[in-house]
Amino acid sequence: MEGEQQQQEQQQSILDVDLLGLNAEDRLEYIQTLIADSYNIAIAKKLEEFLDIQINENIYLFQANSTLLKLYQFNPSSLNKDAIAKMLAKSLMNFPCNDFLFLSYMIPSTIQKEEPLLKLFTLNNLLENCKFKEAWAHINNNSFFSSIPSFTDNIRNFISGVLSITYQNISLTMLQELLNLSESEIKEYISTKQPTWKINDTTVSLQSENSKQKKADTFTFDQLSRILPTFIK
Amino acid sequence: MQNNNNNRKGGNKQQQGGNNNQQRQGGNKNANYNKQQGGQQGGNQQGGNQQKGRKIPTNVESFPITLTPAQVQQHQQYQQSMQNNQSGQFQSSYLPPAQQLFTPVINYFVNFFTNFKSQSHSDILVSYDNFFKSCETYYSNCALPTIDVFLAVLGDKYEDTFTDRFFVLLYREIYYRYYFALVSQPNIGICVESWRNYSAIFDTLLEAATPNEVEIDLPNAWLWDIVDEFVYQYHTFAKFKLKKVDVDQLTEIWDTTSVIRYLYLIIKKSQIFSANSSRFENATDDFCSHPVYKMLGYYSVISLVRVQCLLGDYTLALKTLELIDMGKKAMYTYVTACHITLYYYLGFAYLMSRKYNEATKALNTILVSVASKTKSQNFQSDHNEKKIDKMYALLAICQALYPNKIDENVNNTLKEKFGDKLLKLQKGDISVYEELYSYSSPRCINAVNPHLSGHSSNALDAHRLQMALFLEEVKQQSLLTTIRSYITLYSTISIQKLAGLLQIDPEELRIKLTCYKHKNVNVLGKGETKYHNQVDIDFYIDQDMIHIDNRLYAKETDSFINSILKFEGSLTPQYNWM
Repeated sequence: MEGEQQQQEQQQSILDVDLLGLNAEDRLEYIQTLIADSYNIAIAKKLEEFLDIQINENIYLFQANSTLLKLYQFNPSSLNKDAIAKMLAKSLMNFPCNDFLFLSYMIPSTIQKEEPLLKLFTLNNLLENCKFKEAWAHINNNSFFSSIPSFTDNIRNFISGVLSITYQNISLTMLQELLNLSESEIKEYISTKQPTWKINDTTVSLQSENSKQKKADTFTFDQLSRILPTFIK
Repeated sequence: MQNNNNNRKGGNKQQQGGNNNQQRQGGNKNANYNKQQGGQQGGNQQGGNQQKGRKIPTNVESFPITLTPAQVQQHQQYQQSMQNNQSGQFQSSYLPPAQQLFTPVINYFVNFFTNFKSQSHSDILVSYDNFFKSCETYYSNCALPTIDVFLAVLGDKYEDTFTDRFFVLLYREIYYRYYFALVSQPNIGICVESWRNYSAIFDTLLEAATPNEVEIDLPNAWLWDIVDEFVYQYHTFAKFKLKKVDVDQLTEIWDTTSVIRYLYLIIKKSQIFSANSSRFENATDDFCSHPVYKMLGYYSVISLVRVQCLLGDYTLALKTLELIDMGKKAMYTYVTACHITLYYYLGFAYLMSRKYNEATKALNTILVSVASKTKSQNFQSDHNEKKIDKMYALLAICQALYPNKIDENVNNTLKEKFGDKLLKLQKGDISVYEELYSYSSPRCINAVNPHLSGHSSNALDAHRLQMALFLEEVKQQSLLTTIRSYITLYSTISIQKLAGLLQIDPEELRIKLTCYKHKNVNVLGKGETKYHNQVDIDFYIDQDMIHIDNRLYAKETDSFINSILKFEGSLTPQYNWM
């Protein structure tokens, strides 16, 4: 009985920690110990707080968010849709990792089809299908996305990642459209991607020389010369 | 050989219950199967009786069992409802009590009890199996006799020691397991009683201060059956349509958090994952050296993975699995049913994580391993057989989404079982994906019964959600397989031309091609963070041209050149020094 009380007190003191007062390293360690106790609904408030910190300081910890979602799953009465929207936005920022997918397996389908979550599922769908132009239109139509620091930057980085594994060269105008940047912005953006990205007049080379895939169904003269004696005989 | 057969026996018991929809047929099939079994092994034990199949032998001595007033009342209710309603709704949740006690069953039971006290693995396993077999013969349509009936039989032999008391708990577990095997959705009373019994078993084990107190030893197959049945009953209960009246009775009964807590506590108590160093210091509370704790802890990890998959938390499931040593001679291979269960959920979790190549690898491994086992042991239990079929279906899905090299024998069996389906999958037929998915996937569940949470009134919701998300993913991939088949034919092709061939807009084709790349990146191996594409065909776009890199042919060219050089070398050794 006494032990139990002591344990409760200990737990309470853990929950009293002021997250904002900790430095980044201590905070991470604290969150890790917190989510080790992953079936205790009392930690949900702290995790929600930490989610806001993740958004404001542009850091990311998937386990903390998935633990929070699990707590909602186990305690449906505590479910907080706004918090789910925030963690989904963070998971979109971590594309192409499948974090969004993993979270969506644990969100009741009825609330997936309603706001505030619907806009996130719509965006996920557009990005998964690589319909980048429509995705930008959708992002620009919802003020929710611009309220999250670095959201557009991260999405843009994801898109340029996909483009650079797909295209060797792409026209400047097309790139501009897909990344949703103005003529002056695109030049600056490309310069941040040096030396892999290079502008050649109206086209942009997205792959560095050495990573160019060689055509594979040809073989070299060297290989051929080694087997030639066999044919001559 | 003997041991393995016994394992299968235990697994087979659950299979009846696992087979909810086909309860009736399942029951019959199993009875036939037991008959064959008896013919093979138990022929000399039971003599000619076996030939009569399910009929209880007439020349066996039997004693009537006096039922308790509660049992009598319930049985009368049952008989009434049978008379009023031929379809027997009541029947599906209730088993009539055993009314007679047969001499062979008594003998098997006494033998079972004596062997249990002897703590010899092989003896316990043999009598565990024999007892089950006799019960299937004599109590094919009713519940087993309760422990009180048997305790009366044991008389002075029962000494009320720790071992004896624990045996009582374990017998009750068998009693409920038998009940769940014959009835697809037992009445709430049975569920509550069974839960309390599991609590008693686990609490006893968890409360022990030193491993020496726990004077019991159980064969691995039995331990696996206990943990596996625990999760099975939880799963059955979660699929229940609860009535308002029932809800009031429940607090922590079969609650997800309680189930997970027990599994966690057992793992913790077993100390299988604690550092080796601490073991030498306090040898007295080293629970890991106690085989019961060690294996129970191990099986709890596997069962925990299963629960996590059922709840849709695939990241956590895969993370939990990292705890387990996946080597060839790992502990999960001791019991075939466990081996199969582990890989089934591993494959499924990978599939849902879009790691199709990892899923293929896992499924391929287990299917190779069970194929070699089948040869040495003439039969497989229905339960395992069914899981294996499901795994082939999962493999077909993986192969359609992300073709990968698999074992030749496995590939042949795959084509035998799902050849026509596989072709349809490759053509992107969503209805076939849906069919195979609903056949092969576990029924996912809500963590909290919808009747309690009030969020949705549909218990199937969780399962439908998983399927909808999976099919969404397949739809996103659908045109990609077609594109793949076209670009194999070219080394370069313009976007315009390919769009014409596919009869889609060039802009849309660009999107699809980008998507193809994106999806392949998504399919990453374990812990890989680098973009890596293992599919045999790859391409890149240079403005308006698609350049195709067909690694399949590249490999052939290479291997031809290498073979020529190799044979040339071996035929004419003088070239080497000339």
